[in-house]
Amino acid sequence: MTELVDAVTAPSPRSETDARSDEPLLDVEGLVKEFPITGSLVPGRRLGAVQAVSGVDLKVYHGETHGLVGESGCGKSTVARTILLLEKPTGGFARFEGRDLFSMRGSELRRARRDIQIVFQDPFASLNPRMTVESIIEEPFVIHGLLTSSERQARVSELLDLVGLSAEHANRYPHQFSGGQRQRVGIARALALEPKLIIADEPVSALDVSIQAQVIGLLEDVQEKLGIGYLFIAHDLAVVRHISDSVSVMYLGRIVETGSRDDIFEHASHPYTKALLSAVPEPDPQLERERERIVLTGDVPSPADPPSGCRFRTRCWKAQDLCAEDVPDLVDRGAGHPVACHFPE
Amino acid sequence: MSVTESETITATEVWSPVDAGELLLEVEDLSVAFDTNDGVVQAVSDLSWELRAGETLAVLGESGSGKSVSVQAVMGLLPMPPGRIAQGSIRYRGTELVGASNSVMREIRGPEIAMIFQDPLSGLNPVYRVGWQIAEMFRFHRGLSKREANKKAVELMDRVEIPNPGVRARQYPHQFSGGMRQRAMIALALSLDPKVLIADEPTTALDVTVQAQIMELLTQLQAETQMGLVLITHDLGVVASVADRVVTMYAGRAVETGTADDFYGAPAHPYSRGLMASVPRLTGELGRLYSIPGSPPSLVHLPPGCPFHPRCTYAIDVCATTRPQLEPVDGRSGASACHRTAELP
Repeated sequence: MTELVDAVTAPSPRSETDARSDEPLLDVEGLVKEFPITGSLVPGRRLGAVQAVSGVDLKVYHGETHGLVGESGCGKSTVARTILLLEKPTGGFARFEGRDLFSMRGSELRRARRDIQIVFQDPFASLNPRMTVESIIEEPFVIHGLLTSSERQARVSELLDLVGLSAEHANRYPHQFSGGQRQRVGIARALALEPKLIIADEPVSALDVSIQAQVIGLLEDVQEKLGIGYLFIAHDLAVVRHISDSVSVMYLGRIVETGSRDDIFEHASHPYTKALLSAVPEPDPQLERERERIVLTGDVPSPADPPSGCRFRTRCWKAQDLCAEDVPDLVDRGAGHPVACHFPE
Repeated sequence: MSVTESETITATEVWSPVDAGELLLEVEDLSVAFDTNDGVVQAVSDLSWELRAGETLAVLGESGSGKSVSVQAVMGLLPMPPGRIAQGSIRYRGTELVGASNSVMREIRGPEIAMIFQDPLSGLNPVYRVGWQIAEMFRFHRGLSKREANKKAVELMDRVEIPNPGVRARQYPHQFSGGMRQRAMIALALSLDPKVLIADEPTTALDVTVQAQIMELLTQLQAETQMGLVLITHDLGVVASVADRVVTMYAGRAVETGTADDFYGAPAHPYSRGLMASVPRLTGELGRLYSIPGSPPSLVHLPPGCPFHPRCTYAIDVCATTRPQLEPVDGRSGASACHRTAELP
């Protein structure tokens, strides 16, 4: 495996601390994605739009992990799919290493796609059941026309080794593996082209607790060795706390709060973040009995018809008239911890 | 609940009211096996637990640990064949349920022991209105007229805090959000005033803020009705604040039993310890998560001796040959199935 590590680190020895202050690996600005709702009687007639993502800013730095948390339907996966150009954005910009991602075409785009990889949530659905593990991990090389067949084989066994599987697993099929092992295969495939950024969309939420810890450990190891930046998407706040350097909290298509891990977990300022944190049950009966729980009422409103003003106001205990009229901007009130709330704490 | 005994028309055996702390459900030495092409799957082995009125028992375990199969056996919901109850006894207030006739099970399943599932959609019929499905319980089991039954259904939906119950009763399951569907399932389960409610991963499919709502509803309903509650879950956090006692399962066996405070304060069995250490938390020190090495054994080829010994850091020679029995742990009410209970640090 050392060969692969060298191959990645040798050509561009990244000094993470410099990169941090200079230029983010991924810089997303004002990302908007709407899905049109069309009528079934008159084809093509637009009745409205599902506002899945409504102006999202994100930064991911070299070798760091940015956590994106939110409940189902908040648009976090749409953000991932749009950055990967699996969906065409409705508006906004994304710069990858300073270059505009959304205007890329041809070879430039193919190059960017090598550098940005994804790990999916469901290790059962994301691996082709008819392909051996070797051909799954090898496929990125084939698609991009890299390496000879014997070189590819050698690289596959290096990658299997890196993710904690053995070379003898190469000829097996996905169904012969447990969920945790499959997720390792998915990670090996994502690492194959030595990406600079991995978007991990709920990579551990389908796994059991003891296996989840193994996969989180693996992701941390790989990052340490290869200096990859992660955009880590999850609904589990405790997992995000463990793996992230910085965190954004998303609600109904918008980022409501963003900051360092401590900003979010120790000094949460947006009511939604506070409610979310207080809803996470902790495995400690004493702590549970003592802590004050904010139980939100109702469900997340439909993104096809989001509330006016602040989108959280319908479930917020602090909401006032202002919240229905004015959209609160994500503003930094000093200390580099922007919050989108008229009445932050 | 508003259904009184006098309204009971169906000629079923009327169970006497439950006394406080009465022993309701006993599972003794239960073993469940599935005959498959790959061999006999030992899904549950020698499992024993009991449940008293007003008590909450948590059955903890990872996927494949046998926790769901054991309650399916209680409910008489095992697919037989391929499943079979190889040995053991399940008693509801003294009545044996293993091998009980369908007519006996019909009197118990629903009116006495009710169950809710992880996926509320699988418990609701998509082509009938939700209110109609709840009312069916009153029509079928209590012989109420349509009008009376519908009225009761709406009352019940109000009781599980479904907003606008009158309108919601006339809607179909697909018009409900995940949390609302689970509330409808709870209403359905509680319609006949069961003495025991079995909840199999009731909040796993839900977002964390909705999970908090559902857990609060369940505990509140339990306090009102003094029913016994069996909570099946893989999430150590969810049950911490509500469980009175905890049974931890691994590879089909109970490896540790005890009060929730003992279990969460200092788990006795090495597996429970590993599990607790691998849970990411919202507070406390950060650092690398502990992970239990390896993965759970195949239930067709269980290792000899202690099923956990291949993954156990405390394993000694005897662990590979002799299976440990549940033995009392010094200074607490619980028991642990480990040869080294007394020596563990």
